[in-house]
Amino acid sequence: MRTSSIRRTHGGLLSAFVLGCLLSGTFMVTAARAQVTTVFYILLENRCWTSGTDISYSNVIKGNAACPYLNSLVTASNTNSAQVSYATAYHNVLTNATGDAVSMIGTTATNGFGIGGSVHPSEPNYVFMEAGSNLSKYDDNDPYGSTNSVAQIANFLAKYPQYSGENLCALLQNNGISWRAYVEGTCLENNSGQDYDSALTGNLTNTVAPPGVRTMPLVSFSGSNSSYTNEYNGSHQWNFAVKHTGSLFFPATNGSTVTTPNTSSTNIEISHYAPLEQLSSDLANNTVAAYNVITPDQYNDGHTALSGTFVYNGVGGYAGGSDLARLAQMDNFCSIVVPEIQASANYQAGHTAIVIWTDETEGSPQDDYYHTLTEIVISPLCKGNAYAGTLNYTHSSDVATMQEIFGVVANTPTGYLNDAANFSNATTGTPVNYDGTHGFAGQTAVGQPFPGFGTGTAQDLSDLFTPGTIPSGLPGLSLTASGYAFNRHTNVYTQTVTVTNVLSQPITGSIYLVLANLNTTLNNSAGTTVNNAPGSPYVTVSAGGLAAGASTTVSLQFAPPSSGPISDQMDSLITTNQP
Amino acid sequence: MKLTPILLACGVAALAFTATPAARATSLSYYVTINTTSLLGNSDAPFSLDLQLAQGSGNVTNSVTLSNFSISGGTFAGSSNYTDGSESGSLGSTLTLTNADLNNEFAEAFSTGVTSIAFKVTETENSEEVTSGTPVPDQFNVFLDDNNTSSGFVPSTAPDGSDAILESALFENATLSSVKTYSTTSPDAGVVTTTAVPEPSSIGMLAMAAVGTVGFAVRRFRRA
Repeated sequence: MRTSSIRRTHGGLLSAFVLGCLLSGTFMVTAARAQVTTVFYILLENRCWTSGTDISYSNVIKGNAACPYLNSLVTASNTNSAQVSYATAYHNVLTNATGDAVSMIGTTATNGFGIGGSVHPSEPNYVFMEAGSNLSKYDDNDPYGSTNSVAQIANFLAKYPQYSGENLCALLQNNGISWRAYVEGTCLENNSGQDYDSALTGNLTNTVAPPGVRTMPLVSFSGSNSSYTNEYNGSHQWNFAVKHTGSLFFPATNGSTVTTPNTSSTNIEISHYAPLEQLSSDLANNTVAAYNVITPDQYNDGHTALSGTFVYNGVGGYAGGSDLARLAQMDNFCSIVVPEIQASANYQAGHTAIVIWTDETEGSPQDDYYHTLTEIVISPLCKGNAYAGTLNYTHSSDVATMQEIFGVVANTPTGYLNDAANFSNATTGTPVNYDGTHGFAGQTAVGQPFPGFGTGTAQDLSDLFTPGTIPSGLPGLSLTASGYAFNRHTNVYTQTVTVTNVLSQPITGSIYLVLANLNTTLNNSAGTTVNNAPGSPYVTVSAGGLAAGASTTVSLQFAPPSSGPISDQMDSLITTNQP
Repeated sequence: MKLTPILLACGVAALAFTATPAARATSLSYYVTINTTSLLGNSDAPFSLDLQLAQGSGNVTNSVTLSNFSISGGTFAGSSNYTDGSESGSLGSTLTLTNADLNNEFAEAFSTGVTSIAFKVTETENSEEVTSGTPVPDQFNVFLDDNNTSSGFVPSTAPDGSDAILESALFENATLSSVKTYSTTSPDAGVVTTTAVPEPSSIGMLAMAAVGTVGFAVRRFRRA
């Protein structure tokens, strides 16, 4: 089976990587993920970044006068671009080095799971950003009700158990890493004080529903009334689509079952969802999560044009319903929310990345390599100055990068979520016309590169950042910390940390536990680091390494901190050199 | 500390409460029984029961409610001999520890004739989340304190070296298996035995299930 063989291939690559690192002395420092500690994804809709010679839609962002802000970000001479890198070859089409589709099992013609080599419409792309696969989704159905996308995914997983049903946000919460979906128009009250998401009666207002009232937004809705004013485009129109928030399609993160939605205010997962209208206060209070997904409504994400003329950036007006209005609405939204994030204390601390992303290409044909998607990364850790990355990217690149940044490992052979292990498009190979209609127009010759085709394979987004920012793989070790016990007679806080080798091969180097940024004294420290988070206390976990799958436990002893909780950046280190 | 070998039995039993969705527990209840028979006649008496909730990463709220205190062969002193942080109530009714401070602790002595102490523990189970690094859960700990010496808690086999006889990390989906009990060590050499004893309500449900199963089997047997 194609998917399995690809996994084995990358399992081999992973093994080779492990071996190489072991030979070179230092394997991996999970502390590397500290380079980026906060991520904001801004999820936008449909508009191509470029589309080659296709002019069937006036939907291209790059160079479009309706998108002055987004274009300023990728203009090297513009001050907005100082901390920006972007991709010039981010593709909606998913292929591997031999030109085969990797995101799905076959084609519609053979098994009913859709066409190979493209992912449309919207929802499959948002599911992909969570699971590293569209998991058979090829429609925009709501998660429950007669169309029941959640059950559809469950049925697929039951039939094809080689696919993992895990999703990124679930991995994060299972590892104690905070995440939040800021979903515009949801978790707001109606004019009766109910959460409009589940009440679906009355008129939407701008009043944020407090915790305890909020319910899981599992049904799409739209409307207009003067009771509500959109804080970005100034209209009284709202338009929420479930399909644009991927975490709502997984029971692990929607707090429901496969068949039954849980729209009670006691849904334990609702704490991870907030109205976009809360973002400003969270930024002001520095209470954002580590992983933040911003889903604008369908007007601000560029999906749908407002009904009236939209005035933007001094332009007299973009006609209601027009493609240009949709682009202008999207650009207007980004021009407000991105600077707001950049001005926050969180961003100013220097470890935050903002990613502006679009879900799918449009046009005719929409799946050739001329049609590219938007991937703009804004961070002090970017290469910056509108660095134009020419490697080939897909949604797999995003998912892999998030797993690497946050060090979360899926229960798959590679540790990556499904096709996040497949390193996007390659430069060589023969393009394959998968279904006879979605081929690579103009790219039929054997041999590469083709126009619009990138210059190489990208495993992740690391080329857009300064070297060393993105960890070069998934952690080889997982850490599980116990709570503290305080012995008031010895005045010592104690703790145990279990270190597990999650790789399929043994680790032979010495393993250390490094406690960077510790706000108190580690009484049983073996010394302080020289080469990794220099000056940090560490303890030796195992001088002789650790067998595959094996665990070992170390005890830590702390002096009471002067105030507040004990705080540290605990990371494992494998090296044959001085820690 | 000069103590005769002691035998402590720390029995931890049965969880109860669940919440929606059913797969996740937002609280965990169980019973703890400490057999203090081996402390009888020890010259270092009186000993104290020491209950503690230590704060983890400090980003969520948790509490531990201790109730249904039962003491055999003696009495509690009637008032605490040590408190720290956020605690309220008493062993006479209900004691609540919250994680408002780094350390939240309550200790109270018990008389020399006590042979066992039992109580119910109800923990909220909110997981710590962090924006970077490794989350550290809040943790409920139980110690035995030797008030007559300067050496402090009765030593135990707790792997962190804390001398706790019970440690329970608070996190979503916590179950009885995440409650760890430890034996005391030399010079207080003893053995801790852990016995799962279901709550009365659970016992009733188990009994009903057993009766139903037997009845079903008998009915099938007669039909056959």
